Amino acid sequence: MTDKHWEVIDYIHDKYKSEEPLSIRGIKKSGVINIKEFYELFPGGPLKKATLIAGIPKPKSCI
Amino acid sequence: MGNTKVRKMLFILSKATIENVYAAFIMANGARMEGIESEIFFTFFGLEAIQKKKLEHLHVATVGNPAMHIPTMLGGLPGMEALATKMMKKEMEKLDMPPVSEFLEILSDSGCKLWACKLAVEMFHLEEKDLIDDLDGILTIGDFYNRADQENTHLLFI
Repeated sequence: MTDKHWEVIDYIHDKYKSEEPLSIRGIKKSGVINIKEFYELFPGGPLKKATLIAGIPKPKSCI
Repeated sequence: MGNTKVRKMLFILSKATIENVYAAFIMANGARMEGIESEIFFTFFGLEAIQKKKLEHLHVATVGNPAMHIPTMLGGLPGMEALATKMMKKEMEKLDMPPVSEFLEILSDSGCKLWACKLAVEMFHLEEKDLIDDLDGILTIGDFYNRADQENTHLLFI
């Protein structure tokens, strides 16, 4: 895990704490990371993996 | 990755109504989110979804669409389609569904390949400059079939 990974995990924690739903669109607008990098950092289902690492439930949204 | 047996999803999008375009986009994006490869082949009217000038003006069909629950005659009145489309887009925005251009960006950034059908491009007299910059290329159907190059690949016609 690099610093960038942790930055993303922090962002995901923040969203979770403020009860904002996580989505790939949200990642695009996050200002923390772009979608391409997100897929590179967490290959094979990035939001699923990142939430698993963050220890929070995976998003239920279809988008 | 994951326990899924599906490895690759290839979509053929042949229609330009909002519900069909979004069905393809959501399934293609959903595949990427699950670690499944995905690609979309835009053919016939599906090409409207990747034409710079047209992609933000897609409509929901009010005529010949029994699920609209309005009489066909009314559905054909001027402005009906625009109204229904506006209402649908509003509902979609509530669910945080991105507009077509942004959705295409998300798909491309997510590694979903976007292809235009060569025959349809020629038939509608389109040039590369008419199509989105994120397009990965113009293919024949044979080229597209060749991309079904691994086990557990599925093709879906929309």
